[in-house]
Amino acid sequence: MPFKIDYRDGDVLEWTLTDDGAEYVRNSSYTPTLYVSVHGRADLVDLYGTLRDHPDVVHARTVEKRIGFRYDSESVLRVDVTSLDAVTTLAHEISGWAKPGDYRLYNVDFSREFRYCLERDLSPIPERELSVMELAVDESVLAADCLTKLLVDEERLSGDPEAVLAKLSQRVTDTDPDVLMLNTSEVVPALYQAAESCDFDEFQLGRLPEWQQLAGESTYASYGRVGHSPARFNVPGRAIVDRSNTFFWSQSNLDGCIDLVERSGKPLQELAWASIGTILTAMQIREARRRNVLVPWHSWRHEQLKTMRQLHEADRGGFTFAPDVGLHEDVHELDFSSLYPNIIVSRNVSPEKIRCECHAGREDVPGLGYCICDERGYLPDVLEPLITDRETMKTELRETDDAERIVELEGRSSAIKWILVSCFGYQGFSNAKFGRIECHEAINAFAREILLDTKETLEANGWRVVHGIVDSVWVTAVEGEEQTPLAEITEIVTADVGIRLEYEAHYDWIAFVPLRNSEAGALTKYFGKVAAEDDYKYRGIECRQRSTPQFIATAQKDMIEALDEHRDVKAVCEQLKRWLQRLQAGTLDVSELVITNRVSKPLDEYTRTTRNVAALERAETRGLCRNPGQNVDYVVVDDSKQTADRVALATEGVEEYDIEFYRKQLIRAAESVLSPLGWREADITQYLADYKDISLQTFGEG
Amino acid sequence: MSHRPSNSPELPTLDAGVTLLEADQRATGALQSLVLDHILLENGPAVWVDAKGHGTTQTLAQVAPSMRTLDRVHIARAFTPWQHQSLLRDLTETVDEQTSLVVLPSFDAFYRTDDLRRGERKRMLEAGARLIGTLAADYEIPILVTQCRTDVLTAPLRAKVDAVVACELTKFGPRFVGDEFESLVYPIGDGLVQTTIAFWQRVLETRHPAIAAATKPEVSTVGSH
Repeated sequence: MPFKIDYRDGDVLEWTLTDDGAEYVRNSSYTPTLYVSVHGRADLVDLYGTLRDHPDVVHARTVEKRIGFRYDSESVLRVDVTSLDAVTTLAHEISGWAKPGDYRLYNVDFSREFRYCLERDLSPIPERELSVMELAVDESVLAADCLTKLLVDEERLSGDPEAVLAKLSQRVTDTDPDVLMLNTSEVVPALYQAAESCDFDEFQLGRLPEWQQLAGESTYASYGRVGHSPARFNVPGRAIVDRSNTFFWSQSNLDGCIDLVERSGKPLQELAWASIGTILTAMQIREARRRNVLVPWHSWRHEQLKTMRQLHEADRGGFTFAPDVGLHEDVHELDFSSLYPNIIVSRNVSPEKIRCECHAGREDVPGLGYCICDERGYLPDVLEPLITDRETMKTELRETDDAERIVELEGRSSAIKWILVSCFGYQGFSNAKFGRIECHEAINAFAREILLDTKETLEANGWRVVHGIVDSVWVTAVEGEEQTPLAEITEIVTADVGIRLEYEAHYDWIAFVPLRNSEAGALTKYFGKVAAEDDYKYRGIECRQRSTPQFIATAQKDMIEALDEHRDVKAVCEQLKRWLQRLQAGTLDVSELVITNRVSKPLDEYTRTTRNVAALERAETRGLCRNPGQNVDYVVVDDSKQTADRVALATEGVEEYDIEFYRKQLIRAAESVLSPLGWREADITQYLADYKDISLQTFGEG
Repeated sequence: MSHRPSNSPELPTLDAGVTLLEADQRATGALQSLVLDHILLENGPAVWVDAKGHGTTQTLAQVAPSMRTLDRVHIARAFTPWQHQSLLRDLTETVDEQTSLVVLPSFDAFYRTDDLRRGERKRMLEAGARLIGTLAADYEIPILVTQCRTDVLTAPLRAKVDAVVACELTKFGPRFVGDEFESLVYPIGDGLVQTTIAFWQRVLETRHPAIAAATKPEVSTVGSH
């Protein structure tokens, strides 16, 4: 079976691994396939007549397919086209031939390697262990456009470009790697351009000459966040992994990636740059194919009508108890294991089975009154193996002490974890091919019921719930009541719910932080001391936020330690004073004060003069390109300014900083630590002011 | 329709055909109030094809004199241009003799997204506008639409419009202006009503005291004094 698919000169090359390298088989007769269904007054025969003579079409015929998981087979047009490019152009063309929605297209937007494997029933699992070559070129070297040094498998090659390329070329030939791991995909064009300018014609990174650009760089918005997607390149016979653009390799390892190659049918190169949603979609596409179901290009299927009252119930979102703001001693955390995926599997929540016609009127989903078909849906079938396989891996992990095996299992388990974590959100995502908002609502409704029932059981057994979010509850013993041991309660709940409730952690204390301008608790801001371990848990507070400077994060953790030791507001304030003194001495290493911020839009679209804007302006005048979705690192030097002089870039090497600005940041960080105990910013500054008065007094008297 | 107290504030009556509501963006709840008022006067349910979260039940639930009223609004939300289009295509089957109103907020919203090619945007909006025209011809019921922007793209929609109602925000509160209609600023502000939401609440309670009284006996309506 091939591990890499290349499209070259109208042919497809299937690369298979051999004992000492790889070889390819050329396929010159491959024709990609798309499908069309007709609706309204449009007619299949008319369409067939038009397509039969279309230059992009090799063959068209009527076949029986299901246009969605909830449909039976019907006649649709199968269209085999001349090339990969023809798929998209023809799809646009056809949909324009009638009223919008009359012609609907299927199997259009598949990634190229995946499409080939899918249509030819190939599983792109590598047949032996893959050899990886790491290749890195510094951003500054790339910018300077003169390739004088690079890193190969951590060895530095340097010299004039010609020498560097010759050494690299030799290395590639000698080691013949299957995977090229690059620090950025820009390395590919940079190397070939360098080779061209020194007439090094035979230079090649692939197993055959030439390289291709698959996609240009782009900026996208997803889940309300802006991301940057770098350009993608291809070389024959080798899989390219761009370290700056690989979710799964960065979150797991090669073993985790190969596991997902097998489950999703996406060859390694495509898997490496895929998002979680893409992989989940690929798994569902494979399931669809097994069931003779086509994959819609555009989501025409809309939700069914419901009353505003139903929507009002459904809109309540994920489950949360209001956290009991404050510091609680002796707290236990209980978590449901993979709650959402398990709800999908055990409650049969599947897009084609929810609100089915055959059980209309039955109220299966608590609070919403939706019915769910008795017939098993496809989504539980897709997710169940992920859950059980991961359970098996976790069990083996607990038992094995084979270091190599541990690495493999951990990688595979965390790759699967990400799919499971996302399968719920996917159902509510508007562009998800197989998502359905009613599934999203039903999962929430079941989760709410499960958590409420669990709370009741806990309370009936002598425990008080101090907080609960999504799939976790935090409990303390009720004083003066007898407690059923938690081990027993988790057993009871697990049996009742059919999803395992696990004992997650014991904390000496945990503090739930209120919202900054309110008495109400922030849902995901808390910190606590893990019992019997030298370890703390931080969620949502400054030290966990990406943008927070190292200095502030360290100070906050230190104040939390002081709180652990003394359980006293003033002890924390005393600690804060020490950190303030360090700051005010003006002698800190500026690198500790660097703020990292994600760029959310191009510079000219910002309308307010923020620190971010100042940093972007500075970057621009220095010729450093910062795209939306990328980070910009800076230090605040004078927050009173509105110009680019307000900040300095981390790379500028300045030595001064705005003490007052960072002082405020420190106090805010202290407020997060102290607000659970009722002290707000005003109380803290008052305490600091009193101290100043006292020290002045002392000074005057002395 | 004369069961309302004589001093009750007026809201525009929605006639059969397409009505375009042009509301000041800050007049939150204007659309919801018109819809609720209509279904409280007429008996049949409303069908609401939602775009971009206009159907968020929060506003509607706040303005409604009774939660039971919400059972009479049937909603389906579009999340993509294609879903919106197919909801419009299906409207002739969704709407029946019982339906007393069709609501189409931000009709153009999805046809402005980058998900569509330029030509497709125009084509889909035109097709949508035609479907509305057909619906208006087939059923003698009011169809209430709003648009995100008045420009070339939405011209085909405006060509189907029979009446325009504006809702402007004055410093005393919102008021409606139409071709043959101009509502007064309702004298129920008297410094007590702080938000437009609270304003609509009072307007609807006053106009439909029976429903309001049945569900919220603790609230005394202005009109009863």
